[in-house]
Order: sequence, then C-alpha cells, then structure tokens
Amino acid sequence: MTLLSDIISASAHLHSSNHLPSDEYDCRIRELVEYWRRLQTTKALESFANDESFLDRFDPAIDSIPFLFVLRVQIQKVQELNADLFPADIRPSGKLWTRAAQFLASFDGVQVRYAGREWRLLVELVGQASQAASTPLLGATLVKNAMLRLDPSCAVFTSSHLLLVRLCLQAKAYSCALPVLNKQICHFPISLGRPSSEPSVLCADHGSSVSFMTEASGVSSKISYRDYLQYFLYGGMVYMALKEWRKALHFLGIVISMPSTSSVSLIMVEAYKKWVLVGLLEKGKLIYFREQLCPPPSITTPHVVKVYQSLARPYIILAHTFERGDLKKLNAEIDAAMGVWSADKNLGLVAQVVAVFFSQTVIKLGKTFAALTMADLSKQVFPSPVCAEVTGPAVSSLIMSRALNATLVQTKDHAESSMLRFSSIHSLPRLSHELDLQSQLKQEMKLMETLLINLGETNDNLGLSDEYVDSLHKGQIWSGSSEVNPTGGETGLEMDEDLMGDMS
Amino acid sequence: MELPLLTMEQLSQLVASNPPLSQLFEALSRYELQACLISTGSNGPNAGGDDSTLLSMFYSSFFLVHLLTDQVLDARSEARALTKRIPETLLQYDPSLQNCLTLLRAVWQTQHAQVYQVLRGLPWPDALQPLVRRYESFFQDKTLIAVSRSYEAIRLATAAIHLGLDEQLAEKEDPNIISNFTKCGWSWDSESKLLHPKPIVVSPTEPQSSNGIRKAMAMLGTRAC
Amino acid sequence: MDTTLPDASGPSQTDMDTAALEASAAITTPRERVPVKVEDDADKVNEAEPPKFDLDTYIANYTGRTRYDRLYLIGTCSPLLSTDALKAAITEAKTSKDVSRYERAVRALADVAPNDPDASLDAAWVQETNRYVQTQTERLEHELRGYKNNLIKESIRMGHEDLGNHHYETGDLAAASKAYSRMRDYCTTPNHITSMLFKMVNVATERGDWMSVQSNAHRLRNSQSKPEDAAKNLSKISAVSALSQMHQGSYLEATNSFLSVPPDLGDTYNEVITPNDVAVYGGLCALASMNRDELQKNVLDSQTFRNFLELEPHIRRAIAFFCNFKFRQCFDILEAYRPDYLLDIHLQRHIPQLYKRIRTKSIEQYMIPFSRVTLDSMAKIFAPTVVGGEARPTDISSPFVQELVGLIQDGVLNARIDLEKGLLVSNQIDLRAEVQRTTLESLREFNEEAHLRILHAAVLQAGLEVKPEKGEGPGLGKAGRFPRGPGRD
Repeated sequence: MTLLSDIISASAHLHSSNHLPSDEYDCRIRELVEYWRRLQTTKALESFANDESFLDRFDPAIDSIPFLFVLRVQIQKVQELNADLFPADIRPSGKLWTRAAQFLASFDGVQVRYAGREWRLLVELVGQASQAASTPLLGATLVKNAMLRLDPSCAVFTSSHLLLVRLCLQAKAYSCALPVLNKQICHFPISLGRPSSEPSVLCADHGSSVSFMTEASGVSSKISYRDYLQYFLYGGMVYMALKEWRKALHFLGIVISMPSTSSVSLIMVEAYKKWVLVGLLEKGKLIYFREQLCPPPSITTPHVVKVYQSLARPYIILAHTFERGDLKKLNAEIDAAMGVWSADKNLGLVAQVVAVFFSQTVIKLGKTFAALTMADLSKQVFPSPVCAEVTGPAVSSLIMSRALNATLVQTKDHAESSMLRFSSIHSLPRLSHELDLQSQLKQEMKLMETLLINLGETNDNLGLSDEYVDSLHKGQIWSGSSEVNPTGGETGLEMDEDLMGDMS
Repeated sequence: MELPLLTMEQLSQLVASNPPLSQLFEALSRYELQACLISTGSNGPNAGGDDSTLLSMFYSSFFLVHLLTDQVLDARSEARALTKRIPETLLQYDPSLQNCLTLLRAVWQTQHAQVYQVLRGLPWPDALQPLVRRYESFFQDKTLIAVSRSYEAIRLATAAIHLGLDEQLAEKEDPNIISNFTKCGWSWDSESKLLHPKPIVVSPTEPQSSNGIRKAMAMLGTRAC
Repeated sequence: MDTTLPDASGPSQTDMDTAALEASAAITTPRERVPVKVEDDADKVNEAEPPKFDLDTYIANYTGRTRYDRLYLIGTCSPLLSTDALKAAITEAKTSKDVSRYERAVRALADVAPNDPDASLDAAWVQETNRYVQTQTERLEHELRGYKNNLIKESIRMGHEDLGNHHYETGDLAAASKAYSRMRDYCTTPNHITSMLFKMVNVATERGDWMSVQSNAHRLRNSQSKPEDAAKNLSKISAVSALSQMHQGSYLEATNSFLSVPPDLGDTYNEVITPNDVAVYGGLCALASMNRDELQKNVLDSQTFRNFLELEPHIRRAIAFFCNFKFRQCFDILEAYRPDYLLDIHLQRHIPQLYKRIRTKSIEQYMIPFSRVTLDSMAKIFAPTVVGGEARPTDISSPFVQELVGLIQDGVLNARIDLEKGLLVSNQIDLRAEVQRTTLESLREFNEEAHLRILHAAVLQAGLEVKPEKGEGPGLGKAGRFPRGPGRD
C-alpha cells in the first residue's frame, strides 16, 4: 500500500532531523503537518479509520504528529458511526480514550506546537468526554498534564486553562488544578506583530512561551474577556476550597480590577462579593485603598467600585459589622441577609467569617493584653458570661494550631482558669519561625524573577516602557453600566457547601 | 502507565509495605483514576461484588494518607475534598468510610480525645490497620509538639487527654505516665502537680527529622492502656 | 443604577443605612469609641456640691447682655442658686427693653419658686415695653428711609447702626445682625469698619454663631486702624477668636490664641470675656492639648499669660502639678472646680470633653518614662474612687482597666495590660522579626501588584477588555436578570 509507506517515510524523515539546526527542523515539521492536514481533507485516511492496530505503528513521544492526526481521524469516524459525540470508545477506559490518554501523557511538546489546533481539539474532547461520563477527575488529570507538557510555564492564557479549572471544580479535585493555577499567567495568545527579534521559529528554545503560544497556533480557541474572568474566579474558588485565602484574594482581585471599556461584567460583581468575604478571612479586616473598599493597587477606578458597592451592599455592611467587633450585630446582619448569601452561593464563606471572627477577636486581644485568664478573656470577648467552657478548648486549639501566638499556663486547681500569655519574646519557636520566613522569602524572590522576565516580554511585545505599564490605568475610560452575562447555569461548579462552614 | 491494576491484593501489599509517604501518596493519587472508573462501572467486564470492598479500602487508605501529609492546615481541606469525591452511596453505607468521616470531624475540631477514640475504638479492617496505627502515632507526635509549644504549665490529666494516654492513671499521678513526659525534657513539679513542657522545635525544611521525638513517642507508645 | 440589592428584610434597611453612614463617618473621625467613663455622673451639675463663687461678685464682672445670659444659665442649672440667679435675671431683663428675655426668666422662676412675687408677669410693663419697641422700630426705620433719600452716606450708616442697636437691645438678633451688615457700604473710615465689625462679633457671640465670630475677627485683624487703636483692639480680637476656636473644639488652636492675648485686655471686653475667663479657658484648653514640656514653656513660663494666671491661682497650680507628674493633685483641683465651670456659659458644653482629654493625656504622660507600671499604682492616681470602692481595681471588669483597654485600642497608649502580674507594660518591638515580616509582606505585595499590572497590559494588548457584548447593547435595563434572593422581587 503506497499510502502507508508514504506515511511511514514522511514520519521517518523527521526522526532523522532531530539534530538539524532549528530552522531546518522547523521546515520539516511544517511540511509534515501540511502533509497530514492535506491527507485529512482527502478521504485517503478512511482506510485506517477503523484499524485499531494502526496506531501501534507510532510512538506518540516520537511520532507525535502522525499519532495525533490518525487518532483524530479514528475518533471522528467513531463519532460518525455512532451518531454520538461521546460513544463508549471515547469515554474513559474506552479504546480511543486510552490512546488519547497515552498521547496526552507523552507527546513531544515541540512537535505539537505545530499542530496546536488538533492538540487543543483532543484536549477538549477528553475533557468533555470525562464530563459526559461523570468522571471529570480523569479529564482534569489528563488536561493538566497535557498543558504542562506543552507549555511548562503555563504563562499564556488558553481556553484549556478554563477547561481545567472547570473540570477540577466539578471533580472536587482542587489540588489537581494547583500545578497550573500556581503559575502566573502573564500573556494572552496574540498575533506576533513584533519585528524579527531573536529566534522566530516555533521549535526554537524560547525564553517565553508567548512566542509559540500564538493566536495563529490554535492552541487556544478564540478567547473572550469572559473566559479569563471565569478562569480567575474559578481559580479563586479552588484556592478558597483549599483555604489558601491569600491566593484566592489575589485571583479575585484580578477579576475585579480588569480593564473594562464601558461595562462591568456580572462575573466581576460575583468576584467582588467573594473578595470582600475572603478579605475578612485572610486579613481579619477590610481592605481599603484610598478609602475605597477595593484591592490595593487600585487599578480599579472609583466608578467601577461604586458599581460593586451598590450591587454588593449586604457584603459591605457585613464587613463593616465584622470590623466593628460586635458578635451579636454580626450574627444579626448575617441572619438579615440570609437570602442573599444563599442566592449568591456564599453561605459557606459567610459561615467561615463567623468562625474567623472569634479567632480574630482573640488575636486582637493580644494587642491589648500581655496576659489574662481565660475567664477574663470570656468576659472581654462575650458580653454575656456563658462561654467559658467553649472558649477554653477553642483558644487552646487556636494556640496548638499556631494561629495564635500565645501560651497557656494551667494551674493545679481545675476550677481556676488558665492564664493566657500572649508571648512577646518567646525565644524557642523563633528559630523555626525564621527558617519558615526565609523559605517563604526565597519563594517570593523566585516569583519576582519570573514576573520580571514576563514583564520584559510584555514590554518587548508592546514596545513600551515601564512607565507605560505604570500609567496604564490612568488612560482607561470607565463606565459603570452593568452588563449581564452571568456565569450561571453551569452545573457542578457550586462549591459553596464545600467550604467547611459546618465543621469548623 | 506501568501502574499495576488496582486490586485488593495490590493495595494491601502497598499499604503493608510501609513506603515513604510521598511515594504512597503519589501511587494512590494515580490509583484514584482507576477507582474513579471502577465506581462508574466503566471498568469493563471484571466489575463485580468485590468492587465496593475494594473502593472502600482504597478511599479509606487514601483518606488516611491525606491526613498523614498534614504538615500544614490545608491537608484537612484536601482530605475533605477527597470525601466529596467518594461515590455517595458507598460513603453512606460503608463503615470504614463512615469512620473516616467521624475522624475528619474530630480532627477538624481538634477534639483530641475523640480522635484517639475513633482510631482505637472503632472497628477498622485488618488491611487498613497499618495506616491507622501510622496515623495514630503521627497524630500523637504532632500533638506532643503542639502541646510543648502551647503550654508553659499543664496538668498531667490535660496532657494525657491530648496525647491519648489513660486519664484515670494520670489523675493518680502514675509515675509511668509522668516519666513519658520527663523523658522529653519536660519537668514535673510534684508540689504544684504541674508539668512544665520543653518546647520542641522542628525545622520546617525537614519536617520528618525529629528523630528524638520519634523515640520519645515510641516510649509514649508503650502507654499504660 | 437602580440595581441596588433590595434588602431581604425591610426593618433592617435603616440599620444598614446608619451602619453605612457611621462607617463613612468613621473615616473622618476614626476614634469614635468612647472609653468607659469613670466619673460618669460627675459631668452633670452636682446638686450636693455648691459652687465656690459668690453670685453677686461674679456677675458684677460683666456688662451688657451677657449678664442676663449668665444669670439665666445659672438659674436654670444650679438648684442651689436658681432663685437668686433668676430673680437677678428678671431685674436685669426689666432694665432692658427685651420682653422675651423677661418672660423667659419669669417662667423659669415660676418653675422653681412659684410663690415668689417676681414669678408672675408684670403685664403692664410688658405691654408698655412692647408698645415702646414697636414705635421705636417704626421711628428708626422711617428715619433711615429719610436718610436714604438724602443720600448722605454718614447719616445712612448711623441710621443702620441705630436700628441695629435697637434690635440688639430688644433681642431681635437676626434683625440686628442684618442691620449692622448693611452699614458696610456706608463706612468711610477704618474706625467705622472696626466699630461695625465689633458689633457683629458681639451679636454673633450671643447667637453662638462661631463661624461668623471667626470670620469677623479675621476681618478685624486685617482692618487698617490707627496704631494706637489697633493695639487696643488686638487684645479683644485675640480673646474673642480664642473663644470661638474653643467652641469649635479646636482646643490647641484656642490655647495658642488665649496665650497670645495681651495682658492689657483688662476689663475692656467685659461684655464678652473677662481676664479671669481668659485664664480659666486658656488654662483648661492648654491642659487638654499640650504635653508637659509645652505646658511649662508656653504656659507657666509665659510672661504675658502669667498676668492672667495670677487671677486664677488654682489653674496655675493645677498646671504646675500636671507638669510635675502630680496628676492626682491636678485632678483634685479640677474636680473641685467642676461645679463652677459647669455653670459657665462658655465652658459648660466643653467640660466633659476637656476633662476627658486632660485625663487621657495624663495617663499617656504618666506612662512615658516607664516600661512597666503596676496597675495598682496607676489606679491610685487615676481612679481613687474605684480603689476605695468594692471592686478590685485591677480586675478586668473594673472601669479603670476598661478605660485603659479603650485607650490601648484607640492607639493612645502603646502598651499592653498584663493581668497576671497586674502591670501595664509598654510595647517593645522585636525589630528583627518586624523587619522580616515587613520584608516578606512588601515582597508579596509587590509581586501581586506586578502581576496585576502585567495582566492589565496583556489584556489591553490582546484587546480583551471587558466590554458590552455585541447585540446586547449597553447593559442598563437588564437588571432583572441579576441573581436575586428570595422575596426580593
């Protein structure tokens, strides 16, 4: 069969070109992809569409391109035959699923840059098939690994990012999203308009993935602002489920401060509501910037903030009550707006706010007292003297979990209340504390380096100076009209009840 | 994927071989995909009545391993997320998994006595025993460190409750129990009847290097009960 | 934007509004938390404790309409002096042409001493005076019209002045103020202007319009009088601006103004303020707003203010005690004079606030030289009544400890309370830990902000700003599709 030998030799041609200079290698892959795309348009591949063993001829790690194309043809064929988007073969543990899984776990990242569209379609199919089979965990794992394989930096936003967080939320496999979420997104796929700087071929070693994750590559479907807003909102929700409040706050902060021309997306409003609550959980207080309740680098204009504040009033009132430190009033506010919390699916967060209120109050007490008894503490924290039995264990577990920097001194007598010492200079845990700080510092420094590299990339692309980046927000024209595009309607993404409000 | 098929034998063997935690976690993470398939029945013809036993064993093990990785607070959240991934019906009717849920609640609320009660008092299948024992001693270690840092003076009975030792004996100032603590460098004031803990420092970079503590805990393990 | 979330329950709406209001107010006045008042009821006029002054001598210091105002205030606030003061007020009113004042004083007297002969209205006098006032007003207005027709500036000015004086004497302050201000266009010499401005200051003082006092005092300062007049006026001007600053709660500014009053004020301004008042007002404001060094340097050692202080030696003593760390003695003096001050027309409103500040400041000053102080020793000085009482003075529920808690939480005291050892311990910062903490925090903030800005640039570059969807038009009017809670439609 000539076609078969033709195919084999075309792929073999590439095997031998690994050592070639990158521009020649580039040519060869392009040729190969062209070849397969041409084949695809003809009916020539029909004959292999049903031949299961045909794929055995290719090693996905070496012959990524042929494997990908043949797999696609076979998948299409099965879909046609069954008149079903996700027939059994494609669903998890189906024959073609297994092939797809094998491919996504081992493909050659450089080769696939040339067939980004086909790669993306496969990733999407795997994701959707796993959803259809109610095993989103399987899809999430494959998509995550495939993404990291193609672009280990994951710095360019693609439609797969959104697919991944969505799958992870549905699967409730939050930590599965972390390897991607923890990478800072700094770019969007763009058409590279920059004048020939350094290596321009796709297969070259690029400092930043923005050079090959281009709009033209097809690695991402067409992106709208809603895609990235949702990604950061969902990402924030993943962090919330894992109680990584600071990161959640950052993600939500991104959503609410994104540039807008004349409208505020409902996704942003939703994020703002959560942002207010998470702010209380992370900082124990409101986050103001220039007297506005908004994230510190106020790129968000007061106008947009006003829109948020009018749409999220119960949240702001709740936050103010929290800050004023009256438990009774806090509970009253929470009860008063119960309908709002549950309609917004924020009940879990609100419940945690109450829990944090107690620990925050005790922690703040350490700024006023150097030492006091548990009985005194109860008197100071609760106006009605009921909770001595409750506060004791609660405070001791705050200390044992190291949320509270203090020590307890019990006395011989059971009846006598323990002394709580807010340690000022307690020397012993200090060493480990410092080591801890140091490793965190190192981490942040590393992050900073990455960010600076990406900043350089952005500036190169824009041909602009740092000052421009700094002054970006000034040139924005904002308007506060609202626009309606709820995230809503997606099932399985409501992770409210997952927030442990009931247990903490 | 060179991972052997998830079977009861395979799993028991893995758990019993007591591998380093990270390896165990990694292996179980990968097995979860198989478990996921088994639970949706899409695992082909070999689906049978054993499935629920296997799944129970798998999820219980994975749950305990999650708790074992509890260096930071987050592990509890992840353990909880795991319980959300377990098929609903299995979770509701399987005794081991129910134990897991009780345990999660106790750990979450830092009710030490309850944690020991669940680990020691509730029936766990034999195959799970190695992990249950491993978690018990892990939890004891962790608590001992926490108590040593949190209290400057503590009644023997309170310390005994935190560490799952016999409270009655502690009330009677049992010398064995006292010596468990004094071996860790804590001092016992027979006048005031109080223990004065010596803070145990663990370097965060190598959290498992607390060899001295392990030894101390091994002694604690020969507790009087 | 009418998409404000309607509240789930009606009644809480107002609460929420006030909450929001308070929240915004809290930004401007961040320290709204009032610490527990130790001497709570002492701020009311104490019936048991008689004032130290003699009414007749006291009122003899003043001239003009302020005499009635002061008598009336004492009459209505001090049960002990009420009859005497109100009778004096009635006499005072009857010598004037102000009918409403007379009626008010009689009514007040009728409340406290219904059987007193003065407690019933002298109807004939009232009728006669009313008629007099009426005709006088008409006459003066008629004359003024005549002057206006003749277009003689000086006559018009005097016409306005006469009318203003008449209104002032009869108690129509708004009309008086209007008449005086119309003089302005007809003033031809600097003297005219100063005279007019002083009249306006007096009216405004009586009306309690301190903004107006302030602005007229400012004009007076800038008016171009002859040097000898200017010197004479300066003492009055600085005294009255000090008074208005005190009334506006700017105690430090008021202090500085009082301190700058030249001693030649003498009794030139007794219709508003006496040198004794300058000493008391100035002294209290100084205690409330200056630290020990400033008090010593600017008040006790002041060559000019010394003259005033000599008139009220107990104020001088109180300040000296404060400077010498003898806070208890200082408080004892102030407490002894509290009843007097609460009967003073200008001080009454400010005494609680002034005393609270003096107290707070003394606690703060007391703590400065120590790194730790026993709560017992502090309580002896600052809360002797609590010490003497049943409550344990250093218990957490003792008012004194709660007062300290409030001061710490308001950031006045940089210290913490150690209830185990009964100490107030000043805070020591662990510099090393602090540096590490802030370094990490600023690094994090930098990274977060950098990431945000990079993303911004990327969004703009890719043309992915948030914008209205095609075909959806601008978003207004679609509010109906916002997620709504139950019962909110």
